[in-house]
Amino acid sequence: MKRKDMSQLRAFWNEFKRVKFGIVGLVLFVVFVLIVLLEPVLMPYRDANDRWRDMTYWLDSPRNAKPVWVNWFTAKDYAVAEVLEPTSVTESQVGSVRMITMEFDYDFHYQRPPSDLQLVTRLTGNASVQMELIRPDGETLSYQRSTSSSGTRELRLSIAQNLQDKVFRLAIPFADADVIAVENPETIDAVATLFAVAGPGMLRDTEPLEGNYVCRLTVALGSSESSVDAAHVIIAGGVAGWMGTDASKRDIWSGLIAGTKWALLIGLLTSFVSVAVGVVYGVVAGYFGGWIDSMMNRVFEVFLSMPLLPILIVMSAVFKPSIWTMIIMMCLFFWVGPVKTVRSMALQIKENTYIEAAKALGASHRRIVFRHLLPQLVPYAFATMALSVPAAIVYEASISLIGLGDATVVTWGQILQDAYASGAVLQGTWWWVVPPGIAIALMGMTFAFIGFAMDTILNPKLRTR
Amino acid sequence: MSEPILKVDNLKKWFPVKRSMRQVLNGERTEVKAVDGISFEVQKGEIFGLVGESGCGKTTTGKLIMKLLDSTDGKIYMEGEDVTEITGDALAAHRRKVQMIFQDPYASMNPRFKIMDVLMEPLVIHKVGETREEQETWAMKALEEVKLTPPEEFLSRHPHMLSGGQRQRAATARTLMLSPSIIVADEPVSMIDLSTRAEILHMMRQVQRELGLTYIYITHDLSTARYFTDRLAVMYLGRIVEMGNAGEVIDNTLHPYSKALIEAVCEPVSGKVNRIKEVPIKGEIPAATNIPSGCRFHPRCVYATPECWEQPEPELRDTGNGHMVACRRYEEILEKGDAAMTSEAEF
Amino acid sequence: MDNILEVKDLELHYFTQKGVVKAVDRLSFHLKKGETLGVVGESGCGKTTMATALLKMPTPPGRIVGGQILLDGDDIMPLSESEIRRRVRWERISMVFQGAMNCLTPVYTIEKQMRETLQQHRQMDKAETAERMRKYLNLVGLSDDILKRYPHELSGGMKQRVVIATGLFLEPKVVICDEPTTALDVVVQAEIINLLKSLKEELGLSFIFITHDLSIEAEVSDRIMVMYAGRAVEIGTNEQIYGPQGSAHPYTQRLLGATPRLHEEVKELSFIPGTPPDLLDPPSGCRFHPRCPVVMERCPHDDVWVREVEPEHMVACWRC
Repeated sequence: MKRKDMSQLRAFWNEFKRVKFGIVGLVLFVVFVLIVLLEPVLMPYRDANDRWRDMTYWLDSPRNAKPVWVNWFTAKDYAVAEVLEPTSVTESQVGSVRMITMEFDYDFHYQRPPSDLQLVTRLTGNASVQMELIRPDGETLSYQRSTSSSGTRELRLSIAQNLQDKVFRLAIPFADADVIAVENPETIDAVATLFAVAGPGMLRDTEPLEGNYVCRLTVALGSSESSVDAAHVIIAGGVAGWMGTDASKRDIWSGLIAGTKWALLIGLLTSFVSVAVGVVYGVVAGYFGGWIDSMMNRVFEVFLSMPLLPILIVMSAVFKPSIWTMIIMMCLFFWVGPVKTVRSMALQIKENTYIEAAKALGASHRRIVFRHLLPQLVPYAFATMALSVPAAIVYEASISLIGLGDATVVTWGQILQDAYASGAVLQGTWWWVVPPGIAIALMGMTFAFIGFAMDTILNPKLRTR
Repeated sequence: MSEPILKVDNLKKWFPVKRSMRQVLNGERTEVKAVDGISFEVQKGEIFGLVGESGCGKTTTGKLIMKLLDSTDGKIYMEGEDVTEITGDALAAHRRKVQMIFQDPYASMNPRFKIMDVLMEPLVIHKVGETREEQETWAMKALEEVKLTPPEEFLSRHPHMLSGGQRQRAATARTLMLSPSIIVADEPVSMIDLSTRAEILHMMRQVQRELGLTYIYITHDLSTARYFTDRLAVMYLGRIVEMGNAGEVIDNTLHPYSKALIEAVCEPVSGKVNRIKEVPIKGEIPAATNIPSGCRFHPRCVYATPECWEQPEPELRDTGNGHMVACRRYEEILEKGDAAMTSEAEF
Repeated sequence: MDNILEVKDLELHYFTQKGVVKAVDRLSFHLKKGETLGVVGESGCGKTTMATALLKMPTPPGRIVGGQILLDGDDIMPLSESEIRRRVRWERISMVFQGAMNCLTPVYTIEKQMRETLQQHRQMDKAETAERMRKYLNLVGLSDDILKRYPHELSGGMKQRVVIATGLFLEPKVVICDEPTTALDVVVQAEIINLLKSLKEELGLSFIFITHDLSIEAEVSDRIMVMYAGRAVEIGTNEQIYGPQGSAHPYTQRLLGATPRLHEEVKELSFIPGTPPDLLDPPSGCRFHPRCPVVMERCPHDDVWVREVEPEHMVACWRC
C-alpha cells in the first residue's frame, strides 16, 4: 500500500507544481504556518493573546500610533515611541536622606513631536521627587512633588496631562504676545510646545527643536524602607510598532500575529470536520439509496435551509461565546456543503461493475463504502476542504464584528470589531482597519488557491490539457 | 445420472415498475418479468450455456444463481441443498462456491487497486488464510493457473496496465481464489479482440479441467456457444424455449425462435454477399411488462396457430436424448417443414 | 471511371504528448461504384481512424499528413474545411458512426434532428424537407409517425435505421458504415444488413463497411480489406478471402481460424499470442512479424506493402 501511495503522491505533486495558483497558495500557507511557529520571536508583546483586553499590559504604548514605516514615506518624520531606561544613576547620602539621581537621554531628531512624554516610577514609603526636563537650548522645565505613603504606588507624570501649566509658562518669554493672550494651558499642545523651537511660534505654529533632551529625576528617600525603582521615561511617539497601535494602545502587529493561529485553527478544523462528515454522509446516502437515502436527504434539507449566521448570533447571544462553541456550530452547518455532489458521485460509482463484483465476492456494505467508494472521493474532499477554510474564517470574523465573538482570545475578526466600535475609519486610523482585513483576505486566498489547484488536477473536466 | 451440482426449478424474477396513480387505485401491477419460470439442471464438470438476445433474462438468471438478486419465486438447489432463501453465514458459504467473471474486464476491477489487492479481496472478505504470505502464495498460484506469468510482475500492476485479455485472466484468477465449484461467466470474451478470444477460452477450459469446475456460460453469440459449451439453453423473454446438447440444438433446431436465431447468424463463408437473408420471424420483441398470452413467442412465430395463443404456455418436453423444446407444434413443423407455416416472415 | 473512391498513400498521425502515433500508414485502396468494401481489423488497427480521414475529420490530436483521396476523380485533400463541409461531407460521402443510436439527442424529436441536418446543407422549404425525410424513413423501413417520437421511445434497431436514413438523405454516393450492427441483437442485425443490401441496389450506393466481425463481413462485402496496425495487410474479393482455398496473409488466416462457426464442430480455435502493437513505437519491417507464426528472416527488416498476387488480390507479405 505504501509504495502505491508514495508514487501517487509524487505524481500528484508533479501535477500540482504545474499549476501556478497552487504554488502561490502553498507558499502562503507555509508562511502562515511559520508565523504560528515563530510567534514568540515575531511578537514584541508576547502575551498579546492572553492580555489583549488587559489595559495594564499596554500602558506604555502610545495611543493610535501609526506604523513605524510611515516615516519612510513622509518628509516630516514622526517621533518613534520609545521607553527610555536611565542612562546614569547616581546615589548620594545627605544626612539621613538618600538621594538618587537618574538621568534619561532622549535624542529627538524627528520633525514631529511625540504625543506625550511620561515619567513613570514606582515609589515605596516616604519619597520626594523632583523632575527636570532640560532642552537642548538649555531651557528647563522642573516639577516637584512630595508623597508620603507606606505602600507602593506608581507615579506617572505626563507632560500632556499633568504639566501643561509648566510648559505654558516655559513658553511665555518667547511666544507671540497675541497668542499668549488667547491661549491657555488647556488649549495648547503642551508636548509640541515642549519640543518646539523657542520663538514666536512656540505656542501655536511650532517648529521642532531637534537635539538631545535630558530628563533628570531626583528622588529623596526619607527612610530606609523607602525605595524607588522601575523608573523609565515613555516617549509616546507618533509611530510605534510594525503595524501601529490602536485606540487602546495595543500593538496591532502582535495582535495580527497572535490571531494567525486562531484563523488557521478555525479554518482548518471547521473545514476538516465538516467535510469529513459531509463526505461520509453523502456516500452513505448515495450508496444505500432507498428509504435510507430519502431520510438522509430530508435531514440534510432541514440543515441546508437553516440560516447559519442568525443562528450563530442567537447562540452567541445566549451562551457565552467561546471559539470552540463557534467552531462546533460552524461544523454543524458546513457539513451540508459537499453532500449533494458526493452523493451524485457515489451514485455514479456504485453503478460500476467492480462494485457489483465486490458484492458478488460477498463484500459487506462497510467494505464497499470504505474500500471502494471513499478512496475515490478523497480528492474531491480535499478540494472542498481547501475551499471551505476561507468561509469559516470569514464567518468567525463576522460574528466577532457584531461583538459576539470570544472575548478571551484575539482573532482578526475581533481586531476589526474593535476598530469599528472605536470609529477607526472616522478617525482615520487606517492601520487598524486595513491590515486585519488584508490578513483575512490573504488566508482566504491561500486556501482558495490550493483548492483551485487541487480541483484543476482532480476534476478531469477542468483539465485544459 | 448423478446428482446435478446446480438445479433451478421454476425460477422467477419480476421487477416492479413505477405505477401511475390510476394503476395504484385500480390495484394493477406492472412488472418486468425478466425471468419467468425457468428450470434446468447442470451436471458437475459441465459447461452449460445460456443463450439469447438482450432482454431474454440470461444475465438476470446468472445474478439469481449468484444470489446478487433475490428471486421472486421458484427454487435454486446447490449441490442438493436448497439455497433459495439463505442468509448470513450460509449465504457467505454459497458465495464462496459460486463466482462470477464479468463482461467488461476493465470495469470489473477497481482501477485504483493493484492486481494483488484485486486477488486478495475475496480472501480478506471471507477471512481465508492464516498469514499474509499464505495469501500471497495463493494469489501467485492463481495467476499461474491462468497463465499470467511471471506472477510477481503482474501482482504489482494496476488494471489499466494490462491488456484486455490479461485483465480477463486476472478476473478469472480472482474467481479461483476461493476454490469455487461453479463459475458464472457473463459474456467473458465479447469485449476482447478476436485473436485473443480463443486464447482466453482455451485457458478457461484448461482451468476447468484441472480444477474440476462447472461453468455457466452466458452469451448472445451462438457460434461461440457452440464451440465452448457442452449443453445450452435458448432463452426468450424470460423462459427457456429449447435446451440440449450444443451441437444437437444448433444442427437439429426444433423451436421456431431458435430457428430464426440460427438463420440470422452470419457465417464467415463466401457466396452469401448478394443474398438477402430470410429469417423466419415477424415483428419486434415485446416489452417484458406485457408478455403475450399462451406461448409468448406466438406474435412473432411464422408457424403459430390459434392453439398457440389460446392454450396455456407450453412447457419443455424431452424429445429424446435430452433435447428439450417448448413448442406445441414441433413435431408437425419437423414433418411438414415450410408447409407448416401459417404466415409470412416480416423482415 | 470505375472507382468512385481512390485512396493513395493515406497517412494520418496522432500528435500526442508521448510522441507521434502513426495510426494510418501509407494506406492505399479503392472502392468501385456500386460495391461494398469491407474493412476488417481488431482494436487499434486504424479502421475507424481511416474513416475519419476519408471525411477529413481527424479526431484531435490527429492530423492527415499525406496522401490523396480521390472522390469520383476529384482530390479532396487540397480543399478547405468550409468547402468540404459545404459540398463534400454528407453530400457526396457520409458516415454512419459506431454507436450512432447514441448520437440522437434525447430532448429533441426525430423530426427536429433530421430537419436540422438537412437544413444545414440545403435550402429547402418546409414541405420539401418533410417530403425528403419521409421518403428516406420509408426507405429504411420506418413509418412516418417516427418523426414525432423521441429517441428513447424507439428500439435500438429503429434508432439505427433513423441514423442510416440521416446518412442517406442528402443522397451521397459513398456511405461509410462503422460497426453499424455491433450493439444490436442478432435478428435486428440481420434486418439491418438486409436493409443496407437493398439500399445499395435501389439507390446505387457504394459502401465502406467497417467491422471487427469477420462473419458479418463475409455476408456483406464484395471486397474486403484487412487492416493491422495502421496498414493494409490484405485486400481481396469475398471469394478470395473466405473461399475454400483460403486467404493469403498469415494474419487473415489466423483471424479466420479464430472465428467460431455455427454449423461446424471446431476442435480448437486458433489464436494469435501477444497483442496488437503500440503504434508509438511499432515493430520494424512488417508490423505483424513479432506475432507471425511463419515469420521469415527478412520480415523484421523490410517494410512490406500490399502487392498484387493474383487479379484483384493484394497481400502485404514476403511469403507471397
